[in-house]
Amino acid sequence: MPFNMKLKPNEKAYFLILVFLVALVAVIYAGKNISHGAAIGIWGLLVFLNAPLSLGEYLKTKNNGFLFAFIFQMSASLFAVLIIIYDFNLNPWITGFFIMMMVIFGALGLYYNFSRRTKWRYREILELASMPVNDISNGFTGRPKPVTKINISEKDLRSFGNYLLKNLIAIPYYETDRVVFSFAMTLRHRIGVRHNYKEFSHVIFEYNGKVSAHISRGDYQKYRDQLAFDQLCDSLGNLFIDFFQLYVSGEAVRINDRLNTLKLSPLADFGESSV
Amino acid sequence: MDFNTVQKISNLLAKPFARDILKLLVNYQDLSASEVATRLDLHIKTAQDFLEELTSLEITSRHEVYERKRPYFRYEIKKFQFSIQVDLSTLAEKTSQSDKRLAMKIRERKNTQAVFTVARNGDYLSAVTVFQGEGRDKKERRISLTRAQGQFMYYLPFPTAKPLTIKEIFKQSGVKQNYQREILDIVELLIEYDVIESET
Repeated sequence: MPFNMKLKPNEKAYFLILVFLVALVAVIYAGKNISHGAAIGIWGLLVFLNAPLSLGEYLKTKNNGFLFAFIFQMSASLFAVLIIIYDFNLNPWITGFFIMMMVIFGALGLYYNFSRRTKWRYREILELASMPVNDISNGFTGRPKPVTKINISEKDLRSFGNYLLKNLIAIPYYETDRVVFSFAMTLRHRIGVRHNYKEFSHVIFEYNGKVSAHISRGDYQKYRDQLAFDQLCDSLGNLFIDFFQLYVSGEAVRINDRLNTLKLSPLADFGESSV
Repeated sequence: MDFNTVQKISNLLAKPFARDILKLLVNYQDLSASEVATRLDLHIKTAQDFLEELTSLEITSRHEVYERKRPYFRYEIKKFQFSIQVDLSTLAEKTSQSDKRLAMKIRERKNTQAVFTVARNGDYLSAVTVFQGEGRDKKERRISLTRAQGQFMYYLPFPTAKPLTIKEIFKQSGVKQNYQREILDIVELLIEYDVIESET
């Protein structure tokens, strides 16, 4: 079923893909003019630089896709270092071991990536929240919107939070009397070194059952139209209530199904949250 | 004694020369402003204003006298004792369940420049910051909210939502009716600052 996407295209993603392609051409061009050892060394260094980010995301989310990526990156960069140290005369067993590691974990990493298991679901959430909203009238406000009150158990809520984090749907912050599901998905939030969520979009579940939702100005401006803001906040809150109810009734898999039905590209349709 | 009178008396008594002037008035039969001013080394206008204020509060009385062709006033003490009693309950807004303002429909105004600060823990606002003026003259005013006001404001309908009566918002937010005065006060202030729009 085709969906009428309400978010503007992610221009930042296209820009990054362009930068990647230019860098690729530059590396191929440079590879012809520098030694093989230097080319492998540069490649190994670039891969190695990404490894801490993958490890950070794995430690934060416990999503295996990031662990596979980390193992691939470490294997590849270590292999590159050994090739340079031994001047291409590496023991065939060691070569075989590293190639096997790279093939297995590279394939696993790619599988997780293209099956959207390592895709942060920020844009999917904004799209799903906007689906029931058709009224157009700008009415942005910086306040959270109280949505409704439901029956919640603290234990279920905490477990739900861990599920959402592992599936990269939202980052939960556990507080004394509530859990905040934040869409603050900047790189620093994703690797767990930044924790402020207030200015970013979020949904709050209080242990007494009150649910409220907030959409940041930056995220609101990502929509093509000025959707009715109160309806949008209500819809975001209700979306998370639906997710919670699916989770407690043992149908958590349907949450990912709903997100996947949008068929957003795992490469181009990523996005960083804005305040 | 009403609050304004208490304010005037307090203001007079707080002046650094008040004790000296009153001492003169008590010990002399009567005095002119010029005599007080020269005796205490004050400006004549300062002394005259003080004596006039005392007269308007009926602590002193004055009578006109003529010296050559120029009339002037002489002041004498009238009240040797007075007590200041303040009834703060007279400041209370008169409210009731049937207050018409409770039926006023309100919501947040569209494109308001106000910034709402959400309390760290809980579903209430801790402050509203409003801006007045334009460009360099723009001034910021932060209004801290009481817990009841913050809770009420949290449930204020969004600019695109249907306006609700104050009574309905009371019910939704769970704020008790005995906070009515402070809620009405903040609503009226925020209407003045164009943060809230109302329809009666």
